[in-house]
Amino acid sequence: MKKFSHVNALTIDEAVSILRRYGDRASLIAGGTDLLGKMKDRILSRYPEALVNLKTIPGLDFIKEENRILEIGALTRLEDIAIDQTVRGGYAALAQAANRTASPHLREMGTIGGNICQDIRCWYYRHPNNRFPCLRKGGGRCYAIEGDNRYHSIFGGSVEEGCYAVHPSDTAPALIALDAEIRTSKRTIKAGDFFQVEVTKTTVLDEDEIVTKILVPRPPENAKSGFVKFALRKTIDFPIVNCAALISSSEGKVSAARICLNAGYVKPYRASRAEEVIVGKTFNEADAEAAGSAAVSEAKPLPHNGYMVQIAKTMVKRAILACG
Amino acid sequence: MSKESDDRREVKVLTREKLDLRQLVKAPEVGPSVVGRSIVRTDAMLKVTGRLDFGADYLQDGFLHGKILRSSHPHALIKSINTKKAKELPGVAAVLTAESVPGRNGFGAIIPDQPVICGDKVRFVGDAVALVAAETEKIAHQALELIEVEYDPLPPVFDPREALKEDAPKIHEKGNLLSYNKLRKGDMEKGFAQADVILERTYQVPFLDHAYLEPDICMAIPKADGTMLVEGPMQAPFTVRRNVNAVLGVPINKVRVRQIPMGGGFGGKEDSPIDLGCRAAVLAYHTRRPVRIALEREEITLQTSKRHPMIMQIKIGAKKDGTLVAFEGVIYDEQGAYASMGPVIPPAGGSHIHAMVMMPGPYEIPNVKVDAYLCYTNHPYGGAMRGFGAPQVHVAHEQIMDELAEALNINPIDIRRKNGFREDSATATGQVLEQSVGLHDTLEVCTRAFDWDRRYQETGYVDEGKTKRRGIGIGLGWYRTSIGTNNDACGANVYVHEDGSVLLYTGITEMGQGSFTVLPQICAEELGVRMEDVRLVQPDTDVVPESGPTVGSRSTTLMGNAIILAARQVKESILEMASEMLMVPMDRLESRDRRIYDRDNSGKSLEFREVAARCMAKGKRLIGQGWWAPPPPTLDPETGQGNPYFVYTYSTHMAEVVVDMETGEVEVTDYVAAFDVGKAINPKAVEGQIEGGVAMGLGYALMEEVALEGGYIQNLNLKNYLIPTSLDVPDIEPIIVEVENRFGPYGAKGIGEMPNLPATPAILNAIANACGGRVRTLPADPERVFWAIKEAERAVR
Ligand SMILES: Cc1cc2nc3c(=O)[nH]c(=O)nc-3n(C[C@@H](O)[C@@H](O)[C@H](O)COP(=O)(O)OP(=O)(O)OC[C@H]3O[C@@H](n4cnc5c(N)ncnc54)[C@H](O)[C@@H]3O)c2cc1C
Ligand code: SF4
Repeated sequence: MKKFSHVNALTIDEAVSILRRYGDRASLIAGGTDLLGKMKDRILSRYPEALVNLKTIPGLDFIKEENRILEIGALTRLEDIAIDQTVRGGYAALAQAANRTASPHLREMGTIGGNICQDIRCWYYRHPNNRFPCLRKGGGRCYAIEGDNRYHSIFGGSVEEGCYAVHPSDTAPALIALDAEIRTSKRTIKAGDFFQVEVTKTTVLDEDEIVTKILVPRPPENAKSGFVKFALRKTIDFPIVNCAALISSSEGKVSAARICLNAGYVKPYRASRAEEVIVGKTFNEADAEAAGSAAVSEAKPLPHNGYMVQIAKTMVKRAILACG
Repeated sequence: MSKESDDRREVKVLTREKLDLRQLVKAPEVGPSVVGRSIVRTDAMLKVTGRLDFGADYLQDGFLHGKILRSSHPHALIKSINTKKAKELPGVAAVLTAESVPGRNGFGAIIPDQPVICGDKVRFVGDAVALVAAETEKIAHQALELIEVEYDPLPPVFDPREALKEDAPKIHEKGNLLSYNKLRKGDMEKGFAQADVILERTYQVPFLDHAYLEPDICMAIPKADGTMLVEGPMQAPFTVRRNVNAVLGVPINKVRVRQIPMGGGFGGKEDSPIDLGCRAAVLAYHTRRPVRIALEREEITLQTSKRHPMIMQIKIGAKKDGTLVAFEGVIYDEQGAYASMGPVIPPAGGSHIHAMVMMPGPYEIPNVKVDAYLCYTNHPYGGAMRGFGAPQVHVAHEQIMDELAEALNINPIDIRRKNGFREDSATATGQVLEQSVGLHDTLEVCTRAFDWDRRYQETGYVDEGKTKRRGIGIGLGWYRTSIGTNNDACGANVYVHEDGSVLLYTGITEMGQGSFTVLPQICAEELGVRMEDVRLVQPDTDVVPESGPTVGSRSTTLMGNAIILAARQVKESILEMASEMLMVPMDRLESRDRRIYDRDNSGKSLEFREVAARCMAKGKRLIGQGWWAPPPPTLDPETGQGNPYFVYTYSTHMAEVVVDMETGEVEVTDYVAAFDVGKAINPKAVEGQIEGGVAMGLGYALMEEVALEGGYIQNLNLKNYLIPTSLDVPDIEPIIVEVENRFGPYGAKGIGEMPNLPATPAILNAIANACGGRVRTLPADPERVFWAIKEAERAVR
């Protein structure tokens, strides 16, 4: 690893002012499970000069529920979310997503803030020593589109950039399905509007903006949420595709649905077509399957990832059935 | 895997008697007291408490840190190298290029065709173009960045079939075909004419990485007397020495190689310590300072050997009742950039020859023809990896046996019962298997333990939603003990001290397989002392006799015999002396459990140590040296006929899987593996080999693959190079069967590599049984399983 300076921030304001001072030469660090790997492998042509440590800021690590709103501090570790009784009770999709993230070690270190702000895992992008200076790094071409794209987007590339790297987060689709909001040092953003594809960026955050907490409204009494994930091994692996759903029903019929896929597209993919299909139906295999098909009706798989379409469809189906 | 509560469970050693079959274990007159017992590994406590020092734990004071600048191209000419800036960097002690190599600029386990430092040409992205030694690892890294290399890229070759074409770019001067070998038995035309069914299939397997836990490390320490000491985890200290001495241009006795504790090897630490040993030694030679090279995980993936990929074409013919009549095979075996141990080492060595002779499987087939091509490409190079050419062909022969059974509508067990080797069967090379052939025993034992007949009726959907199907699969296997060259001897020294304690000197290394437990067990048994009386000396080429490499599942059998021969020389002194002291004829004396006693009057006895002390005082021999080599192999280079190896281990595996029909996900849910190991010197250690091997075979079947594109490796790190986690491995029930090997110590034969071979096809066959689709190109990841299901559905429609 190259040299960098490490600054312990004591308040959000201090962290923001350090970020402003360094401009794009600084990075925030929370658990470091994503960032340090990137730095160690030197995947980018630029290397941060300073890391601004958020862990020294008090009061960013908490889970509480007030007035039917769940608040989670940005520095809360995934393991704490996975085992929290309140989250498991009222916000099952989020607890399950946190529980299926990575491995026990990583969940003990990784934070929810870092999880939604993490970078993409495209294996060209992540190749050590910036061997493939692709579009997403400001370079001239996408290596995945011509090469091995077995883990890439099945819903097309990002419009402006032509990048096909998927967003890898497990908690992101759960937060979107649960209609959460992300509170930052500047503003409040709907989870559904938080993710955005740009050169070396995955979110709408400004350079000097910090996520402080996440707010999740308690789902109505007649609603259930669930999360399913398909990965290559039983633990530690990123999702091939995951899916979270929040479904309200009355008298056995679906009255409202929010369904979100991730790892299948360059950002979390709201399965609105599936939502339309499932509303008014009962929880049965055939209707869930129809919703799954609707979810992937606009899929445009690449040469090596056709199999992911079927998995995405199945994840939608199983997420719906998990809410029944 | 064993559950925690199982830890004290006795390992099942089945004899035919228990199963109503012929008694397998010939009871010796006096039962052995140390051999055959599940003694706790000698390194267990040190390892589980973290007290064993591995290379990375060694003190680094005074060491320079070596780093390797690797090629940026899979195939290119080197136009120029400028090291000026790197040399000027403070803290850099040496920057070396090809002309700095003092002796032979080439190394290799057999053929030294890999440059220590490439001068004119690079042949894969793991090739070294310069070496750096610096005061810190960080400075070494910085120096690498300052070296300027200009390349003239050449067209690369990535497919062994392409490599064979006339106009293919030549990777080495002598061309891309490294070895072409033939096996010819019987009359193919006649054979196929007798067949009622003929099947033709192609199977393909990728490069695999060993993924051993401990990253490679090597230390080269120049001594004041001009000797170069090389230390590191390694499987073949003598091969390292043989290369380092040539590369330095000094005689063998000027190089000393010491093996230090090793965190896994699987064949990979046969080649890579040669590579690091030579490079570290060259840096130490120039700087006259100790140099350590510690590879990072990505460097290991880039630079070290891999399991050979193969394209295997088979045409097989059988009669209606399943009797095999003809087998024709073609192997395109990809060697990658350098020869390592791929090609033929007369008469039968080399992974390529091994693959060829094993390709038809453990079946009697009267007419066999195999053509095997071993080709250079601009990929990483193939070396030994737990099975040395055999895991690949097991994937092919065990799958085609199932495909054949299906075509003939025969139970997969029955087709194997019909054709599997028995005593006096002739193999494809015409070798008559005269002894220790337990294949059918393992098949029957496994069939019962797994309850195959019931389960065979119970495949199908497992859930109401009809999304998951269960299937079962079988895999048979056979594997040689020894390496099949005329160069396969093992030497051991046994030194008894005046207090009865013993030092055992061998060059066999410990990489987790348990040799450091099993070898002292054999020594203690033969001398008649206790296990704790024997201390094994860490292999050191200055101290131990040449033992060959720790490969080929040869250690227990070959070294075991050498130890017995060495121990007997000392025992003879002891018994002679005891005979004098007790005044009892020598042939009535027995040495057992630290006592020498009169068989006819057990009241009359002496302590082993008293006798040893008397021997010492009287100047009677207390050091023994034993050498043993297996019966010599023979193999006709034109016809591939002869006896390539002297004995084989046999096995049957059965797996149950559940396939998710919607996603292609495969879960292995149950597993039984039965092995004929001749004699289990330490049953628990055998069990460990079986469980680890099955996990490895599972990885080969379902997930492992070095993903290569344009000569670059995509998955350099273990986050993308997938190996099974503990959660992906099912409960494994190991069963040990003992059919005595006449040539083995206490009847033993090899087990180290064997367990992963039948595991891969057993799982693949189970997948086909579950979902109707067959994956013939590995790994059977969700994507391939998914397309196999689709293809099967289309075929039904
Ligand atoms: C082997 C491995 C397996 C993994 N598997 C999974 C998986 O299955 N699913 C999954 O979802 N993830 C997985 N991950 C990613 C893992 O890094 C994240 O899950 C983790 O939550 C990141 O949190 P962190 O606190 O360590 O982030 P860090 O590494 O500290 O930060 C990540 C990024 O977010 C930024 N950041 C952090 N906090 C804030 C904040 N409060 N405001 C603004 N920006 C911020 C940082 O600047 C950095 O760019 C895996 C990682 C590894 C190494
Ligand atoms: S998919 Fe995106 S990140 Fe990957 S190579 Fe293409 S542009 Fe780069």
